[in-house]
Amino acid sequence: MGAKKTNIVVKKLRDIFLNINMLFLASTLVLYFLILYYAYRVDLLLGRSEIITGYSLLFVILFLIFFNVRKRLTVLPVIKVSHWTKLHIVQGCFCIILYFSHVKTLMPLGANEIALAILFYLSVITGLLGYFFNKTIPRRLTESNIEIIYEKIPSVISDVRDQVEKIIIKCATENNTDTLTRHYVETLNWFFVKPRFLLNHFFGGQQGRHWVDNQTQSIQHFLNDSEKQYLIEIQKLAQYKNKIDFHYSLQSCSKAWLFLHIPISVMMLILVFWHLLIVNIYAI
Amino acid sequence: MWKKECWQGPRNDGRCGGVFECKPQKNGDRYLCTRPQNAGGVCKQGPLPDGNCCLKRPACSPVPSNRVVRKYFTLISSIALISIMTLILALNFNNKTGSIVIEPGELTSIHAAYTEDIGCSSCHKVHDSNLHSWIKSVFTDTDISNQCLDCHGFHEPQMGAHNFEFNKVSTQNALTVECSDCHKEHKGSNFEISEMKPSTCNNCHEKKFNEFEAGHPEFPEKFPSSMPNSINFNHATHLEEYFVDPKWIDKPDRDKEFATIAKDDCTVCHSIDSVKSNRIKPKGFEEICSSCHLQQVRSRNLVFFRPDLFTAVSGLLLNVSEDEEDEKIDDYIEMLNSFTNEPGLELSKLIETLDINNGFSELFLGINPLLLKSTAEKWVDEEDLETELSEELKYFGWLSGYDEDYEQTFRYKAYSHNDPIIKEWLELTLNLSKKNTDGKINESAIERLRETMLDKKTGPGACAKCHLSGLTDEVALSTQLTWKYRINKDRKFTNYSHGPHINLLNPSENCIDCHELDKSSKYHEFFKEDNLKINNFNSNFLSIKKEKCDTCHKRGKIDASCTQCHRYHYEPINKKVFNKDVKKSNS
Repeated sequence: MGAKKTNIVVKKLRDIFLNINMLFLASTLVLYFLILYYAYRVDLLLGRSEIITGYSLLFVILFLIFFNVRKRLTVLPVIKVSHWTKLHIVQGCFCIILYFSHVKTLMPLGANEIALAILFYLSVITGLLGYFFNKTIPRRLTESNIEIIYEKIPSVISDVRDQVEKIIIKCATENNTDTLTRHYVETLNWFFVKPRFLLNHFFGGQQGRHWVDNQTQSIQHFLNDSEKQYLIEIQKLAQYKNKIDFHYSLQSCSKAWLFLHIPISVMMLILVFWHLLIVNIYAI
Repeated sequence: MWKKECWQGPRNDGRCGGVFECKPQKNGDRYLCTRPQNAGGVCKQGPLPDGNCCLKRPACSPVPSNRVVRKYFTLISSIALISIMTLILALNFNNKTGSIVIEPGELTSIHAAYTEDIGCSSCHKVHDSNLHSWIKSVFTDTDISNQCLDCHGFHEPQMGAHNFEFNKVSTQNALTVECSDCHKEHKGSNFEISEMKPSTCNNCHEKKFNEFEAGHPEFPEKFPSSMPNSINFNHATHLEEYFVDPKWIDKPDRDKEFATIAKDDCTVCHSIDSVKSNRIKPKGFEEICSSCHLQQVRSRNLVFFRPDLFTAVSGLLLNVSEDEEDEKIDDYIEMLNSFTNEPGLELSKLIETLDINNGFSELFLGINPLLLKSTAEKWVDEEDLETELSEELKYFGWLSGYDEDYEQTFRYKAYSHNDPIIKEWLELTLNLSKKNTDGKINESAIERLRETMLDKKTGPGACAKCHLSGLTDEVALSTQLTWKYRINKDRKFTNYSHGPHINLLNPSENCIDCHELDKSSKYHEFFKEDNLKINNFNSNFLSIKKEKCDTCHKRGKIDASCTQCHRYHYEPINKKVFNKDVKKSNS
């Protein structure tokens, strides 16, 4: 019994310490410790530690940028993309330490250096924002109980709209009344045209659902029993559309951060090379 | 956008994929519908007789995907950044000041002022070069330190640690230091460019510590007065006896009032109005010493001639040793005889014979030839001279006749401190003692003159009473005579400043907090010897202990970094001047 317990503990410890995340974290910590210690020794020897930390930072930034290239080169057997992502996140966080050991201040002087620092900070902030989105958004999407591919959303919305319109026509034909038809044209049509209440969905609000409920309840008193059955069907489709809107809002966010992160990182890389060139011409 | 997409989708170039549902295929003489199953399968109507699809829809404008938008966004922003930088470089580049896309930050204000005429190339030679040199400099080391030496000068070795050749470190092993190792530029106009961390000092220094109170070695045994100043002034006897004891202060030629104040207030004698570095200079003789010591200056004559005896001066002029005086008395009488004709000319001849006129032109400044002539005439006739001078002239300057000891002498009497003639004779004496005359001048004659001039009790003008150290100690002999306050050059790398300490403490009362009088000191012993050895010197103040400093200079209180008290560079100089007017006048 005791041996079994010990085996379980050992297995759990092995799971904790020998997984790939820990390996990446530990190797990064060791690497950074060596770089910073070497820079400290160079500083003591009246050398220029900025050269050590600067070139190390350059290699880390190149490594981080290469992640985008690796994603496109699917044919290359260079570590799994999921591992690359983990390394990208770990290195991206730790390079802040390297950055401060290189610059030694929160905001350097000189227009070029200030621009470089601002781009670095923006790149880090947008990266962390992306990491936050990637950690929280999938869980929230799962809770919605539907699955939908981002690129298919316009088509699905169109399908839903078609279904609703078919129901409206059928209702009008069968009952010879246009109450529901006019209500659709004047109010519900706005909702089915495209995704609505995006900001509210992003912050977890229920404005869309309440809007649908309000609109269906307000017309209910003017419908006969047959029309009410059609209204229930329309309401179900509207709630489904509301969930699609929720998906669209969150999935847009999980992609939109890259619109900032990638251009900022590329612009930073351009300034990094300019900085490298100027430093080598003037100072080293 | 929010409509159902067609099954073909857009083309690769981003245009609409087509307006027909399918592209019918000809099979024999019939056209067949080719719409796939997932798009609804074969249509009921089938293709038109001309072979076109029967289902036609209006053309659309495909919207680019996120990835494509992102790619263009990245490309445009990067091109915009490069364009802006190029534009700034083209419009803003100046041969002198460079451009904002190059400048890594403001220079310190002092460097900015010095380099404003030449600009970046003051320090970065490559700035003015052509493209080839720019490319070359990317792959070669940049030497900025040499440009620093255009304006800054140091003791040799200029690039050695502390600009000093230490005894313990051979020149070959000495550490070479670049200026930019410690001094970082382009960190803003108010950046403290000379600040150094303790860790930097620890790198070379054997005794390593980060905090003054924790690891700094104790101060040396005789700190800070390891060597005598140029003036022999015994603080202990003055403060404990001369300023207190009625035996001294009640004397008629003493200033009792001055003594009463001075015994409790250091600032009576030491000037703190212009405190710089570690020097608290004493005030001048006229201000603080003359009230008690002027009479001593006036009472001691420099005797040149006697009627029938050699003096130290006449012995030197005739180049006669003390042992030969009796034998050479005839020469002496002959010299007096020569003074009866042209005394001025004769004196000049004697000086020229000894070859001592070079650099000492005021040895007989203001002498009255008629007085010397009449004196010589009287003495040759073996008569005494009785001068009939006014009361004032009788006591100062060139005099002849009976002196205070009722002796017939031709003498010089100083009127005040810093008398040029006595000073010149003293300097001549010390110069002859130091210099090798190759037997031209009798050593014994020089020695006799030295004894006379440097006699603390009877020496002329009473100069030796106070100035003996500045004139005869090891430092004075190895470098130059020091009449005035002497800077302690032994502390090459110490940068203590009295200024801020005096502002904090009450200078008239609290000097003794650090400078505690050592009543048992043998300060006076040092001045007994003729050739004073610095190692034998004992200050009449107790050595200052480290504890005095670390009561304030410690963590959480006042800065105690190395450069707070120590300077790195030895004998730094600025080769250039900032003032434009001075620059213009120099050019």
